Amino acid sequence: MMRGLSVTVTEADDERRFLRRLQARDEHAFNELVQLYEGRVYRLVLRILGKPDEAEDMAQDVFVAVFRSVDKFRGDSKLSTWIYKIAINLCKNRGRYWSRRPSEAAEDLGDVEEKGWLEEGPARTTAELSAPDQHVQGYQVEEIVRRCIQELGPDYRDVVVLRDVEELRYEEIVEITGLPEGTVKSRLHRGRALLKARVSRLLGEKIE
Amino acid sequence: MTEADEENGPDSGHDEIRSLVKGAFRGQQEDRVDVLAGVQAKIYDRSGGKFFSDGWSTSRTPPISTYLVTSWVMLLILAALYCVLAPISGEPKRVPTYPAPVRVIPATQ
Repeated sequence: MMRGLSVTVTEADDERRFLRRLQARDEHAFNELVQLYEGRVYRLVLRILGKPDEAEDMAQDVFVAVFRSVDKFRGDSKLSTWIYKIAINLCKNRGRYWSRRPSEAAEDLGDVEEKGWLEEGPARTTAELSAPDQHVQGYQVEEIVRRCIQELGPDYRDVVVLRDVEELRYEEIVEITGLPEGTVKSRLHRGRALLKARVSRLLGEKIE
Repeated sequence: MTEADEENGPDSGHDEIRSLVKGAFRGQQEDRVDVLAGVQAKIYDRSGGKFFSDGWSTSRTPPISTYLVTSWVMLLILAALYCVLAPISGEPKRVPTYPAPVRVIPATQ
């Protein structure tokens, strides 16, 4: 117990020291920060935006925003939570920007239904399958789930990604989204229900 | 949310969809990306060249080997020049120097 506590205190001290270097605009410290978080930030924005090129550009913008506003960060939350918060806000802004422009949306989900690539059978992802043809089917299921998530409204999509993919705690999601815990939970519930309905419709089978 | 959901927490009753969501992104866990150079370029542009303007701090790892090699090459060039020029220059020519003549002025009374 004591050991765990001392480790936590040391980590907090390290983070404070690191933060001071960042706030002093230490370029080496910033390089370390980017190297430490680039994978996590990139994957988060990729899961939200769904396009690798756009996700890479967005991940860069997230770190530029971090560099610009790090002196305003008071250390009230974990650095990672604050970076996630910036990432989520920038993704929302990008989504609003795209929604005002003529749709460049890729393949419609309707095409997936028309192609009829899915055979009858229970929905399983590639990790749960063994035979090659089952793998193909698994990839299709994964693709459908990813598309359905991106087609959820940002309010639902963000909480579903943060909770079910990133596996963050509710307190962290509350800090990142700035929403009350009750709202986070109800959006999560509603988002999953919407997702379940969409995926069930496309797969042609009921998901519990 | 129903009362049952409130009691059991929002995660209950969604096991299959949660598993599908998690599985859909499992392949991306290993995705690697290198955004450092792009971030540095953007900050350099937007700060008007104030930050990340030197080649040392903008690289992912400081190019220590480049600096070491450059130093050694410079030393070798200086040593080679010394070896070539030293024999040519030879010994310095001796210039006879005599003390200036001293004229004794008798003291006046």
